[in-house]
Amino acid sequence: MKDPAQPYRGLLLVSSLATLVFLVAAAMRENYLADWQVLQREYRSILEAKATDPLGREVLASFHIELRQVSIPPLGRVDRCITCHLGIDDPRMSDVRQPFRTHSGDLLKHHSIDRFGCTVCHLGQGRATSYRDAAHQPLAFWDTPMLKGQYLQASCGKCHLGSVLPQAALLSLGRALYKEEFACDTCHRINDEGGTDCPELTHVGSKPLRGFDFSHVKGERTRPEWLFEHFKDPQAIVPDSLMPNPEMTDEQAVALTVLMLSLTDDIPPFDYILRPAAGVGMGLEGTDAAALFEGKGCLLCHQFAGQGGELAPDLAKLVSQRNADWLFRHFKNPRPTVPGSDISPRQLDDSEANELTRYVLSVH
Amino acid sequence: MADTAVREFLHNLRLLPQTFKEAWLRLGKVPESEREESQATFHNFFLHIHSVRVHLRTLSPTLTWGLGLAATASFVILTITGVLLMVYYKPSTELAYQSMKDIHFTVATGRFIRNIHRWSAHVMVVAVFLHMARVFFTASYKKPREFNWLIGLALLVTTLGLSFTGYLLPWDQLAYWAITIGSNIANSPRELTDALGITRWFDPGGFQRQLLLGANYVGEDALIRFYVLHVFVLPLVLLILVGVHFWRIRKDGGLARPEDPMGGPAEWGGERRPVFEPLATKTYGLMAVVKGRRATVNRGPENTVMSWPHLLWAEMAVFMLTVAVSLILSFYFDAPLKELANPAIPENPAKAPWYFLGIQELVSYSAFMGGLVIPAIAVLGLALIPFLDRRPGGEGVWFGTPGERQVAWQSFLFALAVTIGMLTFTINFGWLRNWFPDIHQLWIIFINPGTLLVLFFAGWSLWVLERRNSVRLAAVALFTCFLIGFTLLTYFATVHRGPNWEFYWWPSQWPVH
Repeated sequence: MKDPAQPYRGLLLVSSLATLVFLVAAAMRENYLADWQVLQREYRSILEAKATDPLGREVLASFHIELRQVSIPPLGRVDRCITCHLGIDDPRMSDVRQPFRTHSGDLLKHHSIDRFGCTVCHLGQGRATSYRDAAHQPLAFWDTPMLKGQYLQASCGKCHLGSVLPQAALLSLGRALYKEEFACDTCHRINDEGGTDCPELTHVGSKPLRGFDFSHVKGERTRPEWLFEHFKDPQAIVPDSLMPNPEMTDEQAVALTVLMLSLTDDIPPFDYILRPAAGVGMGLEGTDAAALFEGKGCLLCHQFAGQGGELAPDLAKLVSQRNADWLFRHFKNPRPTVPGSDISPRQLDDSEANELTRYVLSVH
Repeated sequence: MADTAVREFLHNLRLLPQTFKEAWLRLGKVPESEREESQATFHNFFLHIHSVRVHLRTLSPTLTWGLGLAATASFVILTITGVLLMVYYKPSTELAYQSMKDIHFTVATGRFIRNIHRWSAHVMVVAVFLHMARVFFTASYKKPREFNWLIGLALLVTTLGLSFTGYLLPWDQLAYWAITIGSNIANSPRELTDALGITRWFDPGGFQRQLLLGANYVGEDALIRFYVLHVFVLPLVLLILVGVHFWRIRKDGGLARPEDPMGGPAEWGGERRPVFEPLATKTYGLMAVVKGRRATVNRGPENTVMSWPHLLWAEMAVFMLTVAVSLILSFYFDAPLKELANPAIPENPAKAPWYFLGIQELVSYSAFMGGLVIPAIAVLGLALIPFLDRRPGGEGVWFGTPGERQVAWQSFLFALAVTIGMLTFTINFGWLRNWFPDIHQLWIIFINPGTLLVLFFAGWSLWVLERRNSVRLAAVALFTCFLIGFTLLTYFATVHRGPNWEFYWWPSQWPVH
């Protein structure tokens, strides 16, 4: 009689070999041939070629193949972009191919990578470690693919409120067009400003992609494309829209798209925010409250947003420790809320106190 | 023996490798005689659940297809990969999704390990279902194995529970909305209590959902509950049940098989062996330590072979095959991870895990019937099979009694026709609510495509019972209908149901939005 275990021995051999092959293949694929590891090996050879002076040799000597990341808790971000974008702060890398090239402009000088990371401006998926997963291109199941080209200016608007920014001409143009040229605020609302008859725009830049109807959009299915095509011809994108066709130039449509993209709910903490010295606020805070805040002399004693005196506690700290109710009572009549304090009452009515509370909380 | 303690110590030290090996492996070498082979099985904690000799039928691949073992193997794979994932996974709504991303992007082979966990889970659910079908169609639930059939059923439910609780943990849109659907199914008795207007006083649906979620919505409490169930409670339950399941196999006399003919083919390895002849002066029945009609007296022990190494080869082969299948699937297909869970943006369609989609299809007709009553009837019906079909015969043989194959084919075609017919009718003509908009919900609860399917299947089974005069054939008819109905509904809901649970031929026809 034949050995009844014979076929099993063959099966065991074949499946064990398959297991071994696929285990080794997976280990290689994930631990040695991962995109970023291949790129880092290429970058090391670039470093070797450029190691002509002592500094260059030092950079080469301290280069290890490893995952790199910037962790920025205040922004809720872990950005691993620098795992592949290895030369962004190395001026010698202006002539090499992406992803190794030096960061364009002098933006990194004012926006240190340790404080800002990458995705707060560029968007995309910071935790990812491959080209595809980082959402350089629109990516399934990732809602914020990277902003490209001129649309990148939208991100400046997250922190640079109201001011005219020479580096973000389109954003500045968009802000001007919104109020002055097209009077969008007749109908639309941003925060507490504007009409209420039309869709609110406060967070339109971070509205989930699923919330956009792309069935009439000709270009790719991205927020910028939807917004641009919509500005050029509202009824072509939303057939029953009541919005009058503003008959914009392409530049105007791009500028307003940039403005819309800047209106997100991804609001950086208040010490990242640069408030306007003067001019129209467009984005996070109501200007009335800001004016009130300064007009009532709060900044004579309190620190807030990097300005003000040092006699009284930093308002930012207070805001993080107190709730809206406490703030409201404090603005109405500060003494009972802070026992033993010699702060003087400021004669605010309910609506003003409300306004201030909202402002302080929103900026924070 | 040395003459001083120092010499003795040095002597023992020199012999340490050998004595350690002897203590550890007992035999210290590959077993050579059958006596040593039986000791290899008997003296090993992990192997002693096996009998020392195993029947040749047990080793036949076409009897079992190794399905029970494949399910066990997947559970072992799931335990190992699960523990690895637990090292990185953080069960909090704030961190869960980010930890999934980190497992994907930064943990060494983390993505691969998660893929294996996902695929083994699917393999396990499929293997458990198929194993149940195998046991049924080989009539292996019959006396004395009724109780083990119940344990098997409990294992099926536990397996589904494990898979379902694991579904929520990634905390992505897929997880969130699948569990929302699942918890709504738990809530389904409300359909009846609402229709009767007694929900205010008697609300078992709301209670079930609260018990499952720890709140009225899928949130942090639900996540922790599912996590504890998934990584501790249910694996423990499963482990105990598997232990009992295996132990019962042994105590019930091994895998079900027909009686060997008297005498038996007393040949193995080209060598004839003596048949055990009973002595007239002994009562062998008393020596039987396992259940069965007789001790193996007066028949050849020669239809059995030593468990070591034959059964061991078979088990290792099935185990490694399961591992290989999981690895290959995991190498090529990534486990899904959608956007972060967002209660404000419902997935449309929101679908439960695939093995519950048949139930979800029934739920779309009536939540109470489809989500609770019909599954309860199905589980109860499955549990009753071995107690209603008690006539011996056909054990351990596929379609072992006359007419089974024929009835199975007829039931297959019947269930196919009735299920497809019912789905076609419902899609084309709607149901009571479309014809009589003001009808009381109680009518729909009791008369809907799901309950009618159950009635059709039960009727067919009763007809077979009456006509063929066999409880087994009636059971074959009902089980086949259940299997086909379940498979078709699952397929239908997976492929042909789109946004708002509307019918679409293919997902590519879903409206772009």
